[in-house]
Amino acid sequence: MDIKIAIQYRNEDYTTGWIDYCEKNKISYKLVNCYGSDIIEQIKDCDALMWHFNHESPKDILFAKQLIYSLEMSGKIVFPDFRTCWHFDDKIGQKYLFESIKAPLVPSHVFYSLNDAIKWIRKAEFPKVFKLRGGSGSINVRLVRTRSHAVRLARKAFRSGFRLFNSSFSLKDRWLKYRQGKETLFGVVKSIVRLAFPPRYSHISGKERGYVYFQDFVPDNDHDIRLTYVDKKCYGLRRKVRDGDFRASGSENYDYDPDHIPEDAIKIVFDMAARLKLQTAAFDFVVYNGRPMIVEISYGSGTAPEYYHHGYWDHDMNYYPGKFDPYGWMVDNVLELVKSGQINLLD
Amino acid sequence: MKIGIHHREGSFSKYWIEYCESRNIPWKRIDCYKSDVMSQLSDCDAFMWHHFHISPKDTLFAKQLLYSVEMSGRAVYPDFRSNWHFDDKLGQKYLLEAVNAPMASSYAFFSKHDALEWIANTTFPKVFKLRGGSGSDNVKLVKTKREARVLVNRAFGKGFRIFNAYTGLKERLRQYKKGKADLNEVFKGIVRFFIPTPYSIVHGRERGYIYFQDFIPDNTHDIRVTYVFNRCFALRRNVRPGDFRASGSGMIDYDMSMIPEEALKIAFSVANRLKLQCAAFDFVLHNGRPLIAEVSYGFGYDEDQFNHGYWDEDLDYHPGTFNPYAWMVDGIVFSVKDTDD
Repeated sequence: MDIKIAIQYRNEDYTTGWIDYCEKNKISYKLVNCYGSDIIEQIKDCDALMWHFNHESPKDILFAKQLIYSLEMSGKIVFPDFRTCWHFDDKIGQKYLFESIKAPLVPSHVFYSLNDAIKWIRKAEFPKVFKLRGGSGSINVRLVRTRSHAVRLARKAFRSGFRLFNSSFSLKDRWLKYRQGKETLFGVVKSIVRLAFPPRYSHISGKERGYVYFQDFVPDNDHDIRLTYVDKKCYGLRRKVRDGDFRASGSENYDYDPDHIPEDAIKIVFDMAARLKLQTAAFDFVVYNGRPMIVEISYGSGTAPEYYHHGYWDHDMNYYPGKFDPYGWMVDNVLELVKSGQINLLD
Repeated sequence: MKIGIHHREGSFSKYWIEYCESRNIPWKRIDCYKSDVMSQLSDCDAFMWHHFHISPKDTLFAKQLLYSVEMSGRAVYPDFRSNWHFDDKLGQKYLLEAVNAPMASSYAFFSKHDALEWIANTTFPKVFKLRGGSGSDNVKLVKTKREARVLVNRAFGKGFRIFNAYTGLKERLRQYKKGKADLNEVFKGIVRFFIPTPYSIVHGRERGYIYFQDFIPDNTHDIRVTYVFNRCFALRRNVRPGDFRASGSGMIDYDMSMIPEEALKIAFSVANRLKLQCAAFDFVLHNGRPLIAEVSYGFGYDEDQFNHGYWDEDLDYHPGTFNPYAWMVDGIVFSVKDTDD
């Protein structure tokens, strides 16, 4: 069987990783332009589509998921598929998803009226963590220590709303990283410009309003744990929280020692991925009373070559040290799905 | 077996509840807007919610909540397959093209450059649509390249409000003149120029894309065929006088002999292929051939709608009164039993 994979080209690690793997293994592929109005025609001769769409691309957020669902409903294999991507960059969706299968999620609370939010705030214990439903690298996440701060945020959520891109946080974060030698001066200057000109995706998505979301604050975590599942394998690292802060995502201060990853967390990842039939997912955990709890997941995540130098676990919890190629696993997963004709849509 | 139902006045839920009561089907009232909705649903085997695309709350999370319950292995109405493309003409373009369904050709562009290049090489008139909106809101006939370019500049500039106050007022005036709306409704239409609908505020502006569909001329009606769990019923809607838009016109023709058999066949075939629970297909005729203009899982209804018979999958017509809400409940009960077996 001659299988052909359509790949949406993007100059970033996932896409180039897929293309390299296809080239090396003589897997037939074709670069396509998903932004063309004739995309369905373009991929007629392909068995699958792989697209690492980006939640910060003003174009991708308009239709990437819709295109993927359409192809999947027509019987084509896609990566990521519906089960893997519908909740991407959507913490509200993830709250419902994890609660629906009784996953160990850090307790999360969402309100769609100011009245309901304020009633809850009056009775809740603080601190809590305020989040917008979208945004990565801790960008829309704040620690709320007092009731009055929570009430202010709730009022804003139901009145003027929030921009998805928090420009002052971004500037502070880049400045901190610049001082640690992890960011260039150009990056800092870009952040200053962003104060006046937010990125385009922030315009397209508009303001976030009409809801407010809080998550319980889990104290005493100087790291979070990020475990990435790809096709029945799992690898991971710990991310140190920013100095004087509680947020780890995007801190770029990593610990790759596999002995520091709790076995329970790896088991949760395999269990969740199997129950939800995910192709891939990066799980963020914090530890509460020695128990790992899920903070959030995402199908796509930032990359760096050294992520893939420190070994991985298989489904039976065997550990394989050394380098590995998760992009190759993704392509293999797609090939296997095409061969088996297995579409994991909800039926 | 127990069904969780979110009740909203004026929605399908009233009829679902009546049917459950009359047949002793266990059901439970769910409040989806509460943060503990998942624990409310913990003893339910199925979940039904007629969510509404104009409710600012519903648009924030209804689809996500339904997907989550469905991913936990329970039956839901509407399910992912029937629901994800609701109120999303852009999504429908890809979906219908992907299954090669007969549809009015549609064009979507995500850059100004691509859109302008296409305009330079195409013929007009075309129909401009925003991805969301019902009852012909946000639909416009574009007669010239120049008009199209103006729309493109706006789509990639300040964008469009999903609720257009001007067309809203025009429609209210039309309904008023026909005696279908009172003066208060017209007044509300004027207020909307200054205070946008809550839904429009939460939704934000539509921008960053532009969508056109081929204009199919000489249609005095559109044809709406609604598929619900293996049955179809139908009607025709007159276009508004001096206009080309039928959806929301309120001028309905129930003469079933005027429904082309081909449209029924297409509705059954597309619904089966996509495994839909429910879908209202809007058709226009092009050279006598029905083409799908759009599809939606939820449908407006008037009192008379369900008195004019329906067709089954063998295209046998069953005249008289029927209850499509009962078909929905029965469909869900069947899905639960099917999963248990």
